[in-house]
Amino acid sequence: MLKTIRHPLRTLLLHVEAVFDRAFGPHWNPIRQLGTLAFFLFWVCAVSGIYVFILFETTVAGAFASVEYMTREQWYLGGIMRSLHRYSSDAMVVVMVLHMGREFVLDRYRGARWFSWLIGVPTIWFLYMSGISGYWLVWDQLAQYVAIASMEWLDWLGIFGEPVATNFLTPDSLSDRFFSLLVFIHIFVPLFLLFTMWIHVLRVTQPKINPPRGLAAGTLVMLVALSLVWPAVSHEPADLAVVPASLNLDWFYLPFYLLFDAWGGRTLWGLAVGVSVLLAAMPWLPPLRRSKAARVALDKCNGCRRCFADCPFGAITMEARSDSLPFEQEAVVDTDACARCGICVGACPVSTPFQRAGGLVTAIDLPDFALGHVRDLTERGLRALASEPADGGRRVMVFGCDHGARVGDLEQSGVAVVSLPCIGMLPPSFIDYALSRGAADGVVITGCRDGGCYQRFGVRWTQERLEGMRDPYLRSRVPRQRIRTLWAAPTDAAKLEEEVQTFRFWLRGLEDDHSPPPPEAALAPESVE
Amino acid sequence: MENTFTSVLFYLVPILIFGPLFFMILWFVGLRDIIIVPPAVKEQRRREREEAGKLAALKVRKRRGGRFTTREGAGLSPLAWTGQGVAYLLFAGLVGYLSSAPDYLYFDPGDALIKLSLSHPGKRKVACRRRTRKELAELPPNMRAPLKCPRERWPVEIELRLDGKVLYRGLRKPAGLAGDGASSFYEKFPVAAGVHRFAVRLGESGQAGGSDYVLDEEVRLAPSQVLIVGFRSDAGRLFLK
Repeated sequence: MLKTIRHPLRTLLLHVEAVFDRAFGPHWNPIRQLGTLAFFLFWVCAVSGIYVFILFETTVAGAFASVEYMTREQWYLGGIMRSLHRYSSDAMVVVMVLHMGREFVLDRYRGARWFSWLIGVPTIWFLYMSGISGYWLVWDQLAQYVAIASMEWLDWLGIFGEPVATNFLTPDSLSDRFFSLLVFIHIFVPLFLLFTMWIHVLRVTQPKINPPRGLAAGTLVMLVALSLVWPAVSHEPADLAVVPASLNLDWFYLPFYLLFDAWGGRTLWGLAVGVSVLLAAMPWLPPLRRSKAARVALDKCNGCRRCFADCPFGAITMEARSDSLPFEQEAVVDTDACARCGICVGACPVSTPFQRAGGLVTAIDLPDFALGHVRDLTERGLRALASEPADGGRRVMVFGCDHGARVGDLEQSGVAVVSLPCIGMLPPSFIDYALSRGAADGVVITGCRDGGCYQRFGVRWTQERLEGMRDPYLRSRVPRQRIRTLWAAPTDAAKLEEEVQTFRFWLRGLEDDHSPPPPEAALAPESVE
Repeated sequence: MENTFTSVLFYLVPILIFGPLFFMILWFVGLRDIIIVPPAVKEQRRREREEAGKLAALKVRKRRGGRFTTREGAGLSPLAWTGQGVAYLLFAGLVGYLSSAPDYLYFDPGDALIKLSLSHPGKRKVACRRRTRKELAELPPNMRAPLKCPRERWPVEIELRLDGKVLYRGLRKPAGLAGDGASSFYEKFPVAAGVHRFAVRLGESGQAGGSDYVLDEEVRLAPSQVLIVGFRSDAGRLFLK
């Protein structure tokens, strides 16, 4: 059922991403930077909050007046800071929801990613607690409404001897200490929020927590402009003797209060706890993946550390040698953290299809999709290419990935395909292998869109390996003009097919008239020349 | 000066108490790994730095050679910049609008709100009695209280009538595991503004319909006014405020 929900959403998301790619380019695309944007917005919120705190007065009588002072008298700085504080925190909710939705739609919350997803759940709670406690501090009518409703919601639990909502019965039932306590909460809860955000990325190798400078600058300019054009303002001052009638709710943080008014505390608690538990359990809900984690063949491993350096999920550690071979270290796989992407296989220098003696055995391999199987598939494809008469174009071997554009549909006369769990699993020697057998005239390497690799670094490592910037390199004898890299999402299948056909006909021209190579493929922001 | 001093103390004391606790949690969750970096992580970082340097050098070399082509170096078209502007504008519009609109009509401005809020202990189920000499002698010297008072109390019952009609009738158990605490009520009732007659009855003796305390009063309620129905324990009476 999840797949049924996810499929149309993924198609929609990828189309939207493509539109944003055109406007922002693949590296600035905010859809792919939602997590880093959340961190950036947190810092904007923190810095503006520090300034607001300097001017804020923590007394019943002074709280509202001090906020009004910054909004009206010192609008040029205090007002902007207050608005920045408001809008950055609102924007944080938006990017958090989009980030969570995107990871769900792209099925990137299970397996090795369960930890980050799980920690995301308390992060949501802390974000809401931070935002809602901030609304109390203004001590206007909205604050009064939020404070009373929050207390009534807590009272439903029945854990307090007397209802805590009775603290807000009359104007004289509040003390200045209450505001000091609120400030304390509003400082410490965001610290816990930051803490959970940090844990959220703790297990991620080379986590990105800062957005590209251009995107950060654009976001900041947008927030400042919004603060100037549409400054955040308060309601009338709070008066506990009067019920506020109409409220300008912040619909990012406070929509749950409507549900509380409509359904009461029990339903809202049930909803909040139920949704939290469901979210937390999602990584373990069916359909479960049961493929086996990467396995190290110790007799082949020389402790070169390439798999350790390339693993996107930190699933490989280098430990002291446990056998008698004359190497210092050996690779050890943490099966819980292993995403079964095969990037380690592609990084291993032993992973070469030219091995003949005793079958293809590499130092680290996926038991359920072994490199020997990849070579078998490649050889089968090459045999098919050799036996088929070319239909006017040249013969092309396509190596693709299960998460990018589906390469199975490309299979036809003159085109053979092999799909891998991640394109990063492909050792560059396979390209050499395919071309040197004489059955393929060109090789197409395709995977997820640039910047949108399902396994995080598969596309990046592949590019760097082909460009001679990362081990294992592609041998210099391989003719580069016979290789195309086309990074394409599942929604780009038609364009991918068109590019493959164009490449085939170009290959024919290469031998006929030695014309210059075609311009970079439209799908390939970083194609290999 | 004293206020400043107490304010500083107010922040300082919790920080001193909770700070080390917070630090300990951080330490065991992962701060330890940041401060005392494991050799494997150190090695990985060293390698990453090396590779980043190598990559940067190669990029420079290849750019000079004119063979390295990436979109990073290429400029965006004016149409793309316009698209970015539109995207930022739409996002700002969404954030700006939904941060304070549309309005939520929480309460009918023509109504007033009655809040029944009181906390009152019911009478003891068993009255206190004097301990006999023998009982006192059996107790340790520091516990020889002359009165023996069983802790359990009766639930409190309240009935609130508005213009002769029952608006609320409820029974609340005493708080606490031993049932010796106060019974608490917190209820809200929106009513039309205007003149109303309130009749409140509070029973604390465990008898159905008991009326140990009563109040009968006419009140003019203004629109949006909050009227508290409570119990003043020092004066021992119900009140409207």
